[in-house]
Amino acid sequence: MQLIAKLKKDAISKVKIVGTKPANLVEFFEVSKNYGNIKALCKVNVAFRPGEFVSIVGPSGAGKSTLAKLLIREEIPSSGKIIVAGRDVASFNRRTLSKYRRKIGVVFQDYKLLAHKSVFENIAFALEVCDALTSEIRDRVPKILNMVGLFDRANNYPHELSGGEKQRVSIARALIHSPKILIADEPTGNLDPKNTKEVIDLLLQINRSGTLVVLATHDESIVNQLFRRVIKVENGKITQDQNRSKYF
Amino acid sequence: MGVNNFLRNWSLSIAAVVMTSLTLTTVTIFVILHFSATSATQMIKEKIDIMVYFYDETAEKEIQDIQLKLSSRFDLDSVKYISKEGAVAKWQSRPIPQNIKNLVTSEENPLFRSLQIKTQNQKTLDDVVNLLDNQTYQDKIYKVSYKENSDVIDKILRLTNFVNWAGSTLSFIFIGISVIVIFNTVRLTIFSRREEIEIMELVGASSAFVNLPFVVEAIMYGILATIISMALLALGGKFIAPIINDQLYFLNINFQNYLFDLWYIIALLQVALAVFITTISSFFSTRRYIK
Repeated sequence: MQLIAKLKKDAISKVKIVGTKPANLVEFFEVSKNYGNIKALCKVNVAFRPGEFVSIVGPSGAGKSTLAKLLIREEIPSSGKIIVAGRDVASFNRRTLSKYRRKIGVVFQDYKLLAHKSVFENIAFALEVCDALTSEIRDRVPKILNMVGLFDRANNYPHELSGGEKQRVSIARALIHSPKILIADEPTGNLDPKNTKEVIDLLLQINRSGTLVVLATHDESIVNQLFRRVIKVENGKITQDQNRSKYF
Repeated sequence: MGVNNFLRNWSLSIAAVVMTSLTLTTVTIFVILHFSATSATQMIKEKIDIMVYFYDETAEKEIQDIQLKLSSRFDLDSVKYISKEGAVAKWQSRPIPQNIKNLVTSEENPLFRSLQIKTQNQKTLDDVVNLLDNQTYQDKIYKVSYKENSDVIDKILRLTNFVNWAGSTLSFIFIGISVIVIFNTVRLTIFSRREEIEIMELVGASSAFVNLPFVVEAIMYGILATIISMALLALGGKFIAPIINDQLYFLNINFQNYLFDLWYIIALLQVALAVFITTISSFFSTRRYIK
């Protein structure tokens, strides 16, 4: 009897812990995006919660990158609304937009590193553009480099790095502002399996610290190993939204 | 970063600076010519007068009678008697070459006694000319200069109007070209740095952070162009202005003085114009090509 009572108590406590759903951090309401006659996205409705790890999969041209671009306001939806932390992204003026982008980390397939700047300088650049103090840069950049395992590569230039290392630099730059959201658009597209695993592990590590990670990829094999939420996109529409997390 | 932009595309930068300095020099020369022309026009208008020259045989009393008669008219501003000595003094005070001045001295004075009649009213001058054409005065008056001068005066007035028109047209054209050249130079710099700009915007750089280097670059063009233009004008003032002064002595204008006495106004004008051209160009270029 006492054992049964204990088991019941444990079950209830678990339900209490995992049963609370936080408010959505990102919401897409009937979002469509057209490029001329091409419908890249068609009335997409989806929401992401804080601390979630979401993979968006689909073939090329499905609309994955478009979703990412809309989220970072590189594009504006043709119709519908994108609400991030309660604010309509499309309504931002230039000043608000720059502040918004400091709170979102973005990682791309082509790394987008400055060839004439070292690893340290590439990461520091993200702080310099926000008028950060030199002391703050000297303090934060080494910590981030340590986190991504590139502390000893601080003075190297992008052409001296492997693909995986370049992508880690890109991730480090994306993390420098401690963003609430990290968007990775095909981050492993140019990488071999070993480097792919390293990058994905890093993204998972980042997610464990509470950052919402949105991973857009065409490689379902990566996603199948993650046991996280998976959204399938085809022809601009969400065809499946499945949470594979064993912790759900 | 603005300085880096300038040095990175040095050939384009030089083209932009040369074009802007040409514009500044042209506009400054036009402004000087405009003021000179206005001054000359004013002087000419003041010289729209009648000079009545008398024979040496004409008695002083007869000249005084004519002067008195004309002075009684309310529509004349002044009727001034100029003696032979006065005529010599006036001749010597003219801005003409010395060798020409030396043709007339107190000892050898071929100049006539005269009455200088001034008015602002064209019709009045015509009336006075008609009055003096009277047979009564034919054996006393050697010449009435008005009719001969009026054609020359008309030509000078037309010339000054043309100078104003041509100068302002040329200035607007040069300013337009300068704006376009700097616009394109900044645009090319933006294009060559597009990757860096893209990353700046992705990591949340403010508009000022992104645009400022290009504005600085454009202002550098303006500053350099001003320096070059001032140097050109200084050289022009030293070597060319004296030649122009000699040729156009009858306008009684010293172009050299205009340049050197008013250099600070000229410098301010050039800086203002340079800032205008460069900020307009860079503003539209960055607004259009940085999104």
